[in-house]
Amino acid sequence: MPELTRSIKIVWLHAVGCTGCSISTFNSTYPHAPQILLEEILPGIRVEILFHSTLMKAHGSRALKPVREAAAGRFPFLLVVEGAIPVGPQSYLGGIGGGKDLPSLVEDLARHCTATVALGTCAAYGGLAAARPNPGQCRGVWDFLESRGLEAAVINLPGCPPHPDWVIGTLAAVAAGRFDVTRDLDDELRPVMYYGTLVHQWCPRRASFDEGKFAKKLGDPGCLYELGCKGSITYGDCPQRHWNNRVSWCIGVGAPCSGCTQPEFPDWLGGFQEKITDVQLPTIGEYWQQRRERGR
Amino acid sequence: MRRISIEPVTRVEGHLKVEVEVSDGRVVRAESSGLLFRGVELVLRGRDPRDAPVITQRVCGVCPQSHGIAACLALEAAAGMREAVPRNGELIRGMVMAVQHAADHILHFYVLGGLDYFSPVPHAVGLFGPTTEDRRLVDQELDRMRRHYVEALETWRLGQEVISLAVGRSPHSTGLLPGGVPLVPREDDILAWRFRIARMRDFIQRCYLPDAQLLCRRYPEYLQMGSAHGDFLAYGAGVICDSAPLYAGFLPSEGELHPLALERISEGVSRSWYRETEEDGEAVPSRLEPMESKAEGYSWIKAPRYQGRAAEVGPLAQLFVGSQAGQEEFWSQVADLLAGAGADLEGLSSTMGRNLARAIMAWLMIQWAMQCADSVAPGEPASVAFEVPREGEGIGLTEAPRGALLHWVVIRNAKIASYRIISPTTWNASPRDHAGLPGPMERAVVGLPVADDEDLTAVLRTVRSFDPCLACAVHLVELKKVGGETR
Ligand code: SF4
Ligand code: SF4
Repeated sequence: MPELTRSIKIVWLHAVGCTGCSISTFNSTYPHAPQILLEEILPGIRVEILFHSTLMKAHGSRALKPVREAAAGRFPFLLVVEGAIPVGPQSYLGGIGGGKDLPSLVEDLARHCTATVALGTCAAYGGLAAARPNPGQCRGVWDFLESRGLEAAVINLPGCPPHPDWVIGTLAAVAAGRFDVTRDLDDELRPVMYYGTLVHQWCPRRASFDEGKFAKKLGDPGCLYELGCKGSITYGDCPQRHWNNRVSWCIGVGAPCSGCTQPEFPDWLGGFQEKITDVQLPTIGEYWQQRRERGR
Repeated sequence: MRRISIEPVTRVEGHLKVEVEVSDGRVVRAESSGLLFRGVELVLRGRDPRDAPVITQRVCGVCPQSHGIAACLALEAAAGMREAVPRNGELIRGMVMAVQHAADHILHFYVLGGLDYFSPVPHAVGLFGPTTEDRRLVDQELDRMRRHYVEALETWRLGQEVISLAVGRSPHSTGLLPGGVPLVPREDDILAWRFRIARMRDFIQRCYLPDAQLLCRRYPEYLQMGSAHGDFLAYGAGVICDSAPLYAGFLPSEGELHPLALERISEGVSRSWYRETEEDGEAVPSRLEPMESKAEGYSWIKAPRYQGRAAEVGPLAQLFVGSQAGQEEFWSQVADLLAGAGADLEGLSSTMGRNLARAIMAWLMIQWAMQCADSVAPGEPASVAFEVPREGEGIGLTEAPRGALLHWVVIRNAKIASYRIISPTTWNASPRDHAGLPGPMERAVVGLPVADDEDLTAVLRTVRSFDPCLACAVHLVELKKVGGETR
């Protein structure tokens, strides 16, 4: 007898963000968006998104029904939070309806879900939503849950936005029961399989960096370090993976990496086009460790 | 009289609530509320001006490149170097903008607004339930829509690939920087763009336009209702490309096109959750602070007005303004496309008119994208060095897919002193102003039929015909008036 299809239920919440993470996720090529939504993504496994306000047909309280049920713990589900959590005064919070403010809703859902995916740099670390002076008083999901005394299993998928492969790949591994949060995450709670190396490590311009051949202005060949590239201190597999059906990526068109996967994004020590001053060979990979020791 | 609240309005970007008052089966009053505060302009203050395109793209993940381009234009104006940007840079920006518009319009029709008329799956369950009310397409046509839904998403992705190849991944392209585009384009880049653009063009011609026309013919009464005030505003492309099918001007309901005069734009907050604080007498006249409770307030969106009018922006406005200002060869195509839908330009200000205008603009924009790609000179640079000015002010005007977009930067001591964005949905979904004049979306739903509490079909179809983007709409800004003199 064929096995029954197992479906992983997902509640996908938009907090303080720009919807770019959703757009990026559904930019996935293999599988493409309708396949993610309508077909098995692995043999016997489907992703069943119960709530996603940008995609769903229903509106108002009918749309919110699965969210209410999930928050009451009626069934197992995976929580995907896109955007940061605003913890400022009430009216900053907005809401998705149903009379609940966003932070308490996230808290209720996190209490009952099997795991929380903090999708994008805002959800993971605050990101742009929490950028100086942090007008909406936003926090990353893990940070927020911890402040509410919740020790939830959080998987961070940073990137502003994250690459679709990172998202779909992680969701599939979770759905298949092959993801172990105690084994597969780095210190920043990112899956090591996607965020395990520096952009700099496999950058095609690395030979130029090593030889000290630096681009002086946009459009020049050579390493973009002096134009403000943050690739030497940013984790992600962009150089091997490339973006948008793997056709191109930031440094591929000569644009400096803005470090979009890092907890430091976007409040870098300097501007995006300011050179980082204290990175040197051969200790590049230990940059953050050294900074932490010196007190970040 | 009944008050019905729709929250959340789904299939729009961001957090939107719409409240309608119904009497005798018709909407008599409506309020639209943006529910989430972001404050990107506050974040920009004090930063390196060159960071503006990176930061402002994060306003909206759906149309980031519009913000990126507007920010570059504003910065280059502030540095007095708009003219110095190489032609290749302007052409590539033009192509990126055009591709983004076309792709975005396709997404609206098949994935967002379109689901008010058809479903992407045969059995409308889960995310795609409940079944569409007021279904008028026959089975064969519904099958076709389902196939086109898959193709539409594929076409959207092709657009993202073009953008990625030109300015580095999407959303949030790293290659939109003041001074131009870092890529030095080669022949193979141009080929990689143009054959993707050709496929997009084919989809728009073969599927999108006929499907949009079909909906018009099946729902003819929606060509008769859902008009806003009938005042239209457009800014034009902004990038220097003569062939852009985008024009600037203000077209009031009663008559002739006025040339754009920025000093006529004002922004009020009488019904928005902000407090105006003392003027400090400088170039930055007043500051707005978020206000936790304000009895008259009902939205985080402000109320921009052009000469006191609640102007509508977007593809419909682009078409109306273009029909008066545009070049013959472009606009001769429009008449036929309208006729094929049983519509005409005079009566186009309506719910379905907005959807049709969007499809027509997608068609015009994708042709422009191809022209831009074909005009790029291989091997020539697309950028020049950008020097941050110590002092300066600059305005960047462009059209986002949802309409007129303005960025205004003030630079002091080589840092951003203030930054202001007025985005398209701020116009369309604006609340009432001090004079009580409702915003375009609030106006458009008045008079629509509501059979009972459950049946808000006409209201939702009309709200979604604006393709609202709440992330774009809600900002905290700090300048009262956009001064023409500051340019
Ligand atoms: S600094 Fe940037 S451009 Fe240079 S090698 Fe490293 S990642 Fe590549
Ligand atoms: S190269 Fe850098 S900026 Fe670009 S996507 Fe990767 S981490 Fe983000």
